[in-house]
Amino acid sequence: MGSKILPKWASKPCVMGIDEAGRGPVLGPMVYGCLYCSQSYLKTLSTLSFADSKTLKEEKREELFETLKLNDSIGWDVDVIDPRELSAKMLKKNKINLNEISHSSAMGLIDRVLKMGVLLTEVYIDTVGDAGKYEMKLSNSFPSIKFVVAKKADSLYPVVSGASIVAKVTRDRALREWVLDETAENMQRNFGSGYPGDPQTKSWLEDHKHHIFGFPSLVRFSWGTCNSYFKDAAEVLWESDNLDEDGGGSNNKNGKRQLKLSNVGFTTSKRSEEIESSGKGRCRFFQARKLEHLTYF
Amino acid sequence: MSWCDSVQEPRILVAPDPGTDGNGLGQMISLRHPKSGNATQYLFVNGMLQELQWFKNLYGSWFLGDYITEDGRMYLSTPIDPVFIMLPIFEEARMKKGDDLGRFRQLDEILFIDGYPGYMQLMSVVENCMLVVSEVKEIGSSKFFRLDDSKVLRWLCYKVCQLKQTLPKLDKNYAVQSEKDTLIDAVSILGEYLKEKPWLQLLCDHLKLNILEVTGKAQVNAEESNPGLRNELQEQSNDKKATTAKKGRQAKKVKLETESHNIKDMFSRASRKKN
Repeated sequence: MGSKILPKWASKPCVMGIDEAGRGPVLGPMVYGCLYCSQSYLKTLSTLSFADSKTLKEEKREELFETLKLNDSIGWDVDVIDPRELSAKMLKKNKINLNEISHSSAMGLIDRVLKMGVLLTEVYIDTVGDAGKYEMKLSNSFPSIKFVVAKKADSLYPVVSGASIVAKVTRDRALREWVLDETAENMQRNFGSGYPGDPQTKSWLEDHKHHIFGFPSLVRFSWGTCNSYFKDAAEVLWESDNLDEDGGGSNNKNGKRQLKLSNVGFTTSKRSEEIESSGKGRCRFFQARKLEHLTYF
Repeated sequence: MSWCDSVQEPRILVAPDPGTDGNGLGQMISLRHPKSGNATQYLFVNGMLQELQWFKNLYGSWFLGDYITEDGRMYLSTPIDPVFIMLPIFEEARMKKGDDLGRFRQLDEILFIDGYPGYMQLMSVVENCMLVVSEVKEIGSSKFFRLDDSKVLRWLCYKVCQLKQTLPKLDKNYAVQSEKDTLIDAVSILGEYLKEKPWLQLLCDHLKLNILEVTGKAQVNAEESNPGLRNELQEQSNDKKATTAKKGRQAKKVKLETESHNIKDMFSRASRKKN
């Protein structure tokens, strides 16, 4: 985090770079990082050995991050987005996709820095989705700032390279220090890079899946990767408003469920979630309270 | 899950605490249901007999510590007066024929029911509670019991009075309805535990109620002076009941089809959207 007292250089025209880390992995937070400095400092910044964080080893990144923090001519900030937040937004009824989440995070950082009193005049950012649309969106929100939205911005602009390091190191540390909420005894932390294609990550997911609760909350349930692990999982049914369903869909769902039931040979027994007490056959007192008599416990 | 194949899944039962001064843990005993005569489990704990009931909403399950139990039912154990349980047993035991009042019997003789050893466990409880409805002869140290119709009727009337007083305290809606309707409700609750013949009929005759009103087989407040009208009302009531049942069934089916989400579908949807 930058110093609390606004430095003098911040009242002069400043430049910001924004980059993210952890967009693709199936687990851990997605982190948006930003780095900003005065325009006059840009040449000095480019002489520092910042590079695209993806080309650096973890030790080097950590070292650069510490150097960056001590540099009075540089400001920085992060937005750490919890995997549960990602899943909740991507799975809710009115879905928010990953691009929208990314855009909001980036704009949030800009807003935060502006509110600190920094005179931002230029922002460089890697594109998410269509570059032109993204730039227009940003310019509409922040008319006084000139935006450069480009692919591989982290390789082209030192401020974005720096932001890349900020984001990457923050994510790496978050994962390293992650406290698993789940209390099961066999929780391991050797989940690898977190990318869906990583064999270590795949192995970890296989070992840590639960047939009712899915995965530890570290995992992004909204990822398509998770679906293949859930074919044997318990079905979870719940009530919803009538308005949520359309007639056609319900037929398909019903048909699908019936097929599934016949596959597992449970066609004759009533599903436990569909059981409901009614007190039918009893006097009014017990019916009003839906109390069923039990002959065998 | 393999670990729970051999272990029965835990369930939620609300029951009295056996405590340290009780006679140990409660035990399930099998007795005949006083109305149906079918084998029914009762909980016997702290010298008290409890009947079992359950309640469940759609789509319920329980979190138990770090585990989940699929059976979302809440099981309830509530006290039941052992006299209800014993009425049919004592009725049978006295071997009444015609105007003959029947025989006096000893408890260990009365409670010996083939296939139901649980009755013997209630010996001490029964000895006390059946005094209320029985004649007792003591010969030496032995007691002989014979069920007494007039005592049973008095006991039943006492039960009705208790219910008439208690029901308005449970539910404010009773204040709105007539005293007769509350009376019918009270008697219908007792009807859950009494055979229609002889006890429910005896009680209804005494209270000048139509037994069909109590058992819900006729329209409430049917005109007794017009038997034809009563029959007609009964038929209408039956029709209405059939219609209601049909509608209920349809509604439930529709609800099941449209109102449940499948978490796999959610993942599929998300996956599709992502691509």
